[in-house]
Amino acid sequence: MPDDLRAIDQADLSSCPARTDLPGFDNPVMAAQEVFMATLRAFAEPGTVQNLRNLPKAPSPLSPAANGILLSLADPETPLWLDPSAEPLAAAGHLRFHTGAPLVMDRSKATFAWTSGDLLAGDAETALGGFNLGRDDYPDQAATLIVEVDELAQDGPVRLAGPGIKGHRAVSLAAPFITPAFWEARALISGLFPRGLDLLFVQGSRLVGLPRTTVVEV
Amino acid sequence: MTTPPSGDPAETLDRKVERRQAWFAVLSRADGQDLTQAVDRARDVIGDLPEYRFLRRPEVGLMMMRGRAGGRGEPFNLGEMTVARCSILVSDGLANGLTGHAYRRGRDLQAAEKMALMDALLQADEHYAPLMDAVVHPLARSQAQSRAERLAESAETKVDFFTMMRER
Repeated sequence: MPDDLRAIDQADLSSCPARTDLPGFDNPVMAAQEVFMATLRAFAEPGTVQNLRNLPKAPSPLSPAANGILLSLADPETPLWLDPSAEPLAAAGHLRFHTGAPLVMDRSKATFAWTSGDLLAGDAETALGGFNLGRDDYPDQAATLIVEVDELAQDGPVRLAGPGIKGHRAVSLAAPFITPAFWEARALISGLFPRGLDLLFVQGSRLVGLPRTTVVEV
Repeated sequence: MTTPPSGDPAETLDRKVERRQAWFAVLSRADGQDLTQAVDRARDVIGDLPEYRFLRRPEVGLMMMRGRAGGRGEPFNLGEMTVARCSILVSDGLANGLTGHAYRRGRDLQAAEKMALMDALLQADEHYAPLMDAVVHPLARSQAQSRAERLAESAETKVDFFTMMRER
């Protein structure tokens, strides 16, 4: 982490300078398109595991997949919220430098949000709450939440159904916070359709998309 | 002309920023050929240039230039400009760990890379004085000279509106 980042107040990342000692994509145009396509497939076919290749080294505490997704999708018009409980200072400076996206401390203002999962370990309902769910006339303005998990695999105890899935699809998503209470909290938000929250679960260089339309049975 | 860095840790950030702005302005105005020669002179005074890696590879893009017009100086979009930029991180030598940036008019990617390296090296106190003398000052002098020539050329056709009004 660059030295002049250490002096920044962790509690207010919105003033974080654009500083990093890590490069972005080697070939920004092609790499960003690859990540974009993988993310699109993840949302079009919920529950399929997408592998991202050629990802650059990620700043702590982001996974390479989360870093790659944000490098590809974030820009000066998409405010970012990074879970403060994960001490995301190095990541904040890195994303400010490479994407120019503003950082916000108020999660309701974020277009993209990232959490290590610590946030979700508490009361799931309040943890998932507070994000921008869009409006009935502009549901596309809702936030996308990127969540780090411990394990991510095809087939498993989580059964998914809905658009993009023929019948059912099984997936394994493991993290301390992924509990029945977590899925209940998500189901409550799903009831607000067309408003809602789109989730991207990431681990290492892999991701699984869970758009607001997907129904989860545990 | 050159105030050397004092090496005093209490030296104000403002002073450092001011110095960097000065060399940045000169380096970004220098054309590719002049910059190549300047980098050769840099090698003569500080020896082999250090290793570095890219934070942002040299790339070309467009930047919106804004101007001000009207009685109240309201901003307007003047037009887009082609800009080459590059960012590097020095990974050995006296400037180890320093970051250099370049933003230049045009699409000369090699010049952007050279300028980013010079920007990083000039931040190292040990390199500052020799590099200012070998690289920045010669470029600044030739830029000042060509500016003076252009001004002299246009001065020949200058019309003094103030005088015309007085004589009417």
